[in-house]
Amino acid sequence: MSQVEHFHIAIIGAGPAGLSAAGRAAWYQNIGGKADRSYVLLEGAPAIANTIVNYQKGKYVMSEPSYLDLRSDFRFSANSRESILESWQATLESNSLNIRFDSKVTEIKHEDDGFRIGLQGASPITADFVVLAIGSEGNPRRLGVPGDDLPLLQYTLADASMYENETIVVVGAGDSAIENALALSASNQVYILNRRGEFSRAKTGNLDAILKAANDEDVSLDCYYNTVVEKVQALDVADSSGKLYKIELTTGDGQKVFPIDRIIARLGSVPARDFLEGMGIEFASDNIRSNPVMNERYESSVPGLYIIGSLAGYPLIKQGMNQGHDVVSFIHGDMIAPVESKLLEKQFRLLPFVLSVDQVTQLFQQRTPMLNEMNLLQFRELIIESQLLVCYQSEEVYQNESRRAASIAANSTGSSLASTRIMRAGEFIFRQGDFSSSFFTIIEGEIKLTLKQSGQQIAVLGRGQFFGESGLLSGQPRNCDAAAVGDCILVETPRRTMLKLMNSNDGVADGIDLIFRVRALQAKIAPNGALDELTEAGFNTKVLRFKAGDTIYKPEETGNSLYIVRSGAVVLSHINHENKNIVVGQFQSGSVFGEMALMGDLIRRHYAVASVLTEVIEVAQEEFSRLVRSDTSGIEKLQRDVSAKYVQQNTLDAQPEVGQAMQFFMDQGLGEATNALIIDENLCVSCDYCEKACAETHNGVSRLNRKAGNRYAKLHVPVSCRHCQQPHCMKDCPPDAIHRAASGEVFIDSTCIGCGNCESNCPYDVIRMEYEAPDKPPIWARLLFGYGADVGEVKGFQPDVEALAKGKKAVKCDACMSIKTGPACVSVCPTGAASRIAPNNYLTYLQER
Amino acid sequence: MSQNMLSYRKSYYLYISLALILISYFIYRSQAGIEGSNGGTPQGYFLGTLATVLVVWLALLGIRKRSFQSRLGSVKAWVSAHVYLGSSLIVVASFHSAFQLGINIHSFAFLLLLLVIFSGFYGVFAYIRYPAKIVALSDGRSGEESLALLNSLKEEIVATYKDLDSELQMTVSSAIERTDIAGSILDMLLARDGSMMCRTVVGTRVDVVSNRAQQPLIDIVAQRIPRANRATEPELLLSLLNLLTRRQQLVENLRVNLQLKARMRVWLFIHTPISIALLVALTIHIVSVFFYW
Repeated sequence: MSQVEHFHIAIIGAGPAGLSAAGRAAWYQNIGGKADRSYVLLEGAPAIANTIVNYQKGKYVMSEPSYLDLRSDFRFSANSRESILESWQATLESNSLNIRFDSKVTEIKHEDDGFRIGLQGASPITADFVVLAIGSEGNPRRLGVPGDDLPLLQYTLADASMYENETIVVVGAGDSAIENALALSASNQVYILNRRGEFSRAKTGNLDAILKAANDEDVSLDCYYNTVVEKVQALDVADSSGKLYKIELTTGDGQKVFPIDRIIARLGSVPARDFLEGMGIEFASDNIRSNPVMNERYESSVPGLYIIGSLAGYPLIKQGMNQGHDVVSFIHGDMIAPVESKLLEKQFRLLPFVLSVDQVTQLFQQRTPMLNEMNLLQFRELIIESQLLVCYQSEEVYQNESRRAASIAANSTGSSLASTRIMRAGEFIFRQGDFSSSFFTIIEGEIKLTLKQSGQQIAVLGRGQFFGESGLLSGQPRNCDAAAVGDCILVETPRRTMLKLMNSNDGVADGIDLIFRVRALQAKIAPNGALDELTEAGFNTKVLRFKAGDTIYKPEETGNSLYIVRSGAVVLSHINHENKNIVVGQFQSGSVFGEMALMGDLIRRHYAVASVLTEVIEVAQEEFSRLVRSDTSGIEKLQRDVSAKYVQQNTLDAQPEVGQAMQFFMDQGLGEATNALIIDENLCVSCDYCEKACAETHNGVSRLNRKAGNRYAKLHVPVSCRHCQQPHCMKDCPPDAIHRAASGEVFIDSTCIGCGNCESNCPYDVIRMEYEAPDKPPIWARLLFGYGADVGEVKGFQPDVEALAKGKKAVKCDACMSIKTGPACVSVCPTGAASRIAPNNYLTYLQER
Repeated sequence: MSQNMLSYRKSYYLYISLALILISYFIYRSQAGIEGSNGGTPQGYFLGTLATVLVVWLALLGIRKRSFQSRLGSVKAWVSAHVYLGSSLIVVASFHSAFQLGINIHSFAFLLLLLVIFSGFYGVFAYIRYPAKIVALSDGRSGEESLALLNSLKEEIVATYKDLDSELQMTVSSAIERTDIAGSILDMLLARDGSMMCRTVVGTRVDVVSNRAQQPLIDIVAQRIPRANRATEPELLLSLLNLLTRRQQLVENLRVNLQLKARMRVWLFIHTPISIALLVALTIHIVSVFFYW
């Protein structure tokens, strides 16, 4: 038995984070005086940085966040994919780093005071410490049958032409399995095993191809449906045809056993989470987006096991590299200050305190009970990504501080970090109707919330409290004005950062959620209710989540609760006298529905169905009654609204076409829009100028596809951004390039790195990845000499060299926010067919037609 | 009713045009009777200037619709005004000319003006009437979807006639391949249908005969059904008939669709170039008139 190899540190994954960690470990070994501390870098692929290798050729890789310094033994700056890989490969070789390729880790077991790491196709190794830098791609799902560790089984297929005249079993029914099976069937006998009775998951082209091939006698491909693999065995003696293995299947027609050469299993991938939890690593919550629990040294819940990079929740390259450097320093006992300390120092400079960075951080955490629940790592990140606001009552102090802020800004080198903002007390922090969605925490002082029109005060909040949560959770515009009363210090945190925090910290999530519910109850039911009554009612309400198409309630049910829509959209419909299901109402976030059953008519008369992913707050009869009894000021408005709803519902009942058109809108997902493009086909003459205008006002690339999109009853919803209340595109943007303007438009700024996440996340296909279009000759040259292309986007244009170097960036409609006359598609339509409307106008629009 | 170019802002520009016509009438009448009225009197010059300003502004629509960041009002407002004020121009120009027309450049300009305006009338008619018809014929499908449907029907037809006799196969497949509608703009306007198919006439001689509106083929298949020999034939023939009829509907709708679309476009081939010619003729008219002075 050979001695098991032992290392001080085992780093798993040779992406940027892992490389940086290995670089630092090598430094400690060679220069840092820790010659006996060995390390190894394990990489499952045959080369470094697999994810970046798979970027498109020539892709320009950005180095966001630009405010962060790089601290690593590897270099990295914004450049093409090829240059970056070259630089890393050179550093790897010149430092002779101890890297092993094709070393896929199959398991990590914590034993005694170290770890045992199992490798595919090699003997296991042990290490004192493990650094996981495996990225957020999953691992292939294993076959999970006896014999699945035999060498004949593989989970990928690099090149089908490598195998000839073999009998190969392909397990799986997805696109990869089908493509592999078809490719192999050219020179091999292929059997494709489908667990179900049909290939439902595959793309249409693949589906057609596999069925054709399976039914074609001339193609050496056969398909077994309703089949699972029972086991795989190695034959002691090769059989007559030279095969070394046999496979046992349970098919729809009974058992089958036959000899084979190879198995290719394409069963999808196991999310990294299962793999990690299997090692004992805890995650912050059950939420699928939550990150592993880590302390501020990146150590997970398993002592000695560290997690860095995108797996830890930091998808940007620079962050991963810094973490690789830092984590190895920590392991070697050097508690270096994080790179962000300098940034925090800059941020705190304008605060009216004379305290160190650590002292200020401590003060902030103490002042806000909710933020106290975060670990230091999370808290530092929160502060860095937030902006501090300091409000001064005294005009003189305000002027002094503003001057100081201006001079600091003038001297600092183009940092993209939001510097501390100095304001006057009483100046509006935001106004009612703004579409901003940042979240505010009060460190010191008081904030007054008032209604814009009446000036009526809704609340005064003090130290440790927060506000602005409804924009965070519902995507609706601000429902009140906010201004400081006297001197005040606030932390303004962008939505994306807050959401990340809430996903990884249940305490914070619950706290914010409760306050949201309490304030919703106050706004909708009991405007003058006592805080303790409202809070208790808040505890007794629940948030329910519905997928698109789910029913919230049905007719004939007894209604014993009302609902406040928190996010998404709900459609009310019923079967009319002609037995057709027609829409009689639709509710956006912030609206109340279902209250009719608590006020008069006790039986539900309609179907309430979620038209997109929707969250509602359910308020039971008892809570409602108690609240309106304790505060009767809101009841009259509720009653008026209910009467108006009855009228509207019956009006729509008498106009079934309008109701059905409304259903069509909801089916297109317009329930979650804030600004949707609709084309009236009674007027559209297909001149395409809407698309041409879009291209001409947006550097030659159209963000609108007029011909595409669904049609119903002379209504056409072309493919164009709807500026959703909760933009799907914003979900996963690593450089945070997608923002919402105060007037509501969702736009992508120039820091886009072209990763394509937004394109994949958008359910309406409105985002394209496209190169910059080349310039066109001026219009008079085109009109007079026919020189160059006509107005609009040149289909299939050839990008110039500069554009190719920059790579494809995400483009989408921005509602022409920089054009004074508003959306070009609407203003250029000669017949008035194109309109951009908000959901509260859908009904009027449909009724007027 | 959705607002179209005629009903935009409750036909606001209609009233402006009517007011313009009325004003022109009174100015014309203020001249001293038939002998005294012509394009050269002060009233005539005024009306002429008014007409010129109108012509130039009307032509500017071509520029406005391509100025995508213009703040001078939406294009649909311009189009509504364009239609009404353009129509009123007939009256204004007629009063300016005091109906003194002959074979000369001045009257030629007037003729061009009329051509532009009447082609515009047709354009308004087409734009108001045809979009709804086209949509009704498209049955909720986009152009690409219709072609995809045509393709899938073809594949189904091929799968169905596979088991029928070879003569019928030839007839059906040739009918599909030789489906020939539309073509040039003239063909589209005339809703041309040159669809043909191959038939065995006598023995082995094959003739290419007309399959206009896809109907002859359908008749052939229908006639075969009661005369079917084998037991399996009637069912297959019925399937085939159903598919062919659906295909016929699609092709015919496409043909009419293309005709309507052509009608919506063709008037612009007159309206726009003649407008340019008009501007030239108008310039000549104005410059030459000053030589008379």
